[in-house]
Amino acid sequence: MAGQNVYDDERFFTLYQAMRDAQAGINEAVEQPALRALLPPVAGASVVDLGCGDGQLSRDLAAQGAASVLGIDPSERMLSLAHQRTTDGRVRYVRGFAEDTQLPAGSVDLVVSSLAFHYVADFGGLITRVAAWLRPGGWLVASMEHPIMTAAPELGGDPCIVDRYADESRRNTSWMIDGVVKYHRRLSTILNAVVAAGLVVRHVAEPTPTAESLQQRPDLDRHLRRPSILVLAAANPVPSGRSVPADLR
Amino acid sequence: MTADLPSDPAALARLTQDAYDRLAPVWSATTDDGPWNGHLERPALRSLVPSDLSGAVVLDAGCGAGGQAEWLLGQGADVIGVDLSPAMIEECRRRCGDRGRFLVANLAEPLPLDPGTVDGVTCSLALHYLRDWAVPLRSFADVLRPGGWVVLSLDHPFAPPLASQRGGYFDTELVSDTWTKGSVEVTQHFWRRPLGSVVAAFADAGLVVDRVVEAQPTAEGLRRYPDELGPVVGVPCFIVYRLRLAW
Repeated sequence: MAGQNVYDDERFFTLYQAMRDAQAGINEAVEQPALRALLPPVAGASVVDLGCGDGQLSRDLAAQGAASVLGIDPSERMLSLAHQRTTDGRVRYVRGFAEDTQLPAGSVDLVVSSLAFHYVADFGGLITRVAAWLRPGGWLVASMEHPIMTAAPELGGDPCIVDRYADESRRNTSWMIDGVVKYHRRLSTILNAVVAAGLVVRHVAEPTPTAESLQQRPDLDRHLRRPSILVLAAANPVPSGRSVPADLR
Repeated sequence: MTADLPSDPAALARLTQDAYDRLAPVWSATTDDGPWNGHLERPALRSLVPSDLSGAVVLDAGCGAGGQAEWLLGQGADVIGVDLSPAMIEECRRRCGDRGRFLVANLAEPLPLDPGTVDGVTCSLALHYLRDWAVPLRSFADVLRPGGWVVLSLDHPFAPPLASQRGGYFDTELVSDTWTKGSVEVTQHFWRRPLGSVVAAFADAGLVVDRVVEAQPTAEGLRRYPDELGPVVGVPCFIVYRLRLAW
């Protein structure tokens, strides 16, 4: 399966790294605090980081006591940075697309993914595979572009008025460079896929900029007008013997 | 308009009750087969209700004039309907006779029902009249038997902003809308809120999302009401959740 690997585009990579180095994006200001707030304790955990980029989250989770962290990313350039920046032997990196990744069933305590799922065409297939990797009691915690963002009107206007919301499709966007493909999905498609995979949706967060970041960067106030990021935390239930009626599955 | 509104829940409840008391005589005739309820919201709501309800006890919370109660009876359920409006409850009794149990109740207060006695709850476009959902959702969770379900519909948080809306997406805000149903015109006041707050309120009450449907007009509805329903094709409008007890 050929996914998108725009992070290996030289111009994109250069612009993206400049943005990240200047902390000019919304990763540190909006997304990472919310994602990390929903993570379960990771001490002793076996962690997979889908779309690990330069490995910052992978390294931090290892530093918090994870037994192992497997970072997966399709971009050679991003993984090259990740290798340069990582000394902790508990962190390993593998080059590949999230949607092509295969891992043994019931082998993982936490799958974490930061702003990668909106690049994945087959969301339901990916979530089904991810759910199978999780041990009972394991977690999936993932951030993605909010459906209001992926359905943003191309011509501007009120940022809360969505365009072609029900049309689940590839959207060609301009972000750093033209032609970055993101996949718009309805909220129901996202949540129903998680439930259909057997996971229990525990949290749905729509983060806004932290107070500190707003003080430093007043331009972030547009992220108070409309949601940019959706963060999901879903748990793989521990079998309890009590069953849900068949017609509710 | 919203600046003049009372923020006190009891005063708002009186406004809501008064509006529905006035709407009661025309409600069934204007909504059961009308565009917004009959051909948009209720089909989506009903698509998430388990198909065989024979022998099941179902609470319809905010039952209005009894359209949903009558449908539940037709599915084989034993129905308990509650509504804030005494005039609506009178309509239910006229419509369903002694086939259902109907009582006046404010969802903002604990329901006068025994815990663990209900198999399912339906709640059609009622919760948004309340700012605080802790009591109603806790009531739903409490009356349910193990394995029970809640199917509830709400305004979609991604719907285009109403004209009366002043705040942004993340605000929980009292908004207003004026409806004409038959010969009756009312201005209703209800709370819009972001998705994250909705799901957090479910979780706080011990309820988890089991299935979500984003309502779209039925084919028949589009044929019969092209002017009303044509513009909402592909647009978030109403959202329906099926919830179950978290454990």
